[in-house]
Amino acid sequence: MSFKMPLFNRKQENLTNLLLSLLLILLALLCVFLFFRSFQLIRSHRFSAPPISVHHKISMADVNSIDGWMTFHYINIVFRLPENYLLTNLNIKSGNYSNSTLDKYIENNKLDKTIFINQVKQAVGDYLQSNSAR
Amino acid sequence: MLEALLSFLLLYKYLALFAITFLASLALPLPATIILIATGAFSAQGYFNSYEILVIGFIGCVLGDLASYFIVKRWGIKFLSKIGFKKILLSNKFLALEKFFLKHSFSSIFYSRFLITNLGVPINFIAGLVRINFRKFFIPEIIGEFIYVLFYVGLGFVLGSEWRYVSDIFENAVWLIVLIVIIVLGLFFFRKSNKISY
Repeated sequence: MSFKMPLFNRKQENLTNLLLSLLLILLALLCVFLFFRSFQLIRSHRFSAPPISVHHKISMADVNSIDGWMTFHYINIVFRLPENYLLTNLNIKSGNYSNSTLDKYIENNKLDKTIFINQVKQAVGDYLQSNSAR
Repeated sequence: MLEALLSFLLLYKYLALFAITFLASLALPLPATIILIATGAFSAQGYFNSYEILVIGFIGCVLGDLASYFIVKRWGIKFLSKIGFKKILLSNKFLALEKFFLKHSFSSIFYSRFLITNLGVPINFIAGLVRINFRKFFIPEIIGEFIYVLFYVGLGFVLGSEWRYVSDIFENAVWLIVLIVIIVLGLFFFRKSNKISY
């Protein structure tokens, strides 16, 4: 069924159509961008090991993934550290340290983030090496 | 933002997982998919119990979706009319959207749960707005969310400590699918609503 639209409505409809077309073109451009970004991400990364291996043995490469958002408790579990290992090794005074994130601990004790996280990595790395040597 | 959520997850464990999945399904822009992948990886490292995260993640997602569906079903049209969207709700474009959604409700809801996850919340809103029957919403919702949680937690479990890098690619890929779907649907409604107009 066809009928004539009033001129004002037709103008409004044309404007809506134009805006929608522009939006669709913008979305299409965003698609192209996302596609190339994904492609670049895939090319730039090299898997350190077949992913499944991490379930059987923790490697030294995993130590580098230690970051500020992690809690001491999580690090203890993942790297199978004794409960008080980091407490004694890093001279941590807080009794409730295991339920704190590294970032929170750094903030509370006004420490340098890079230095402290490197100390944690070093301590965990030493533990893994000494355990694998046994 | 993501780092704060990861810390929250490590500190409050299952409660945090429930809160994040529930709020993300309700409407908040939280990266629930990445959190599920991370949780799967943490469970592979022995920090979480895999079965418990599957159950809690699933319950959080389903309850969040149901809450947003019921809220929009009850107050959506009233609210949108009040804030000046009455014309849009009565327009041909909305009519075409309503027709399309009622015709393809199962596939729209089902695929938006695990494949085009970024459209999950808008689909909940549309389902509420067009007042789709509860059973028609609930069945694809349950099946879709089950696949969603199982797939992403499983992916995290298999990836282990590589989860963070792969989640970036996945996020990109999901956005890519979402944009393609929006473009295709946009063209479809564009044609359909113009056919209705003239």
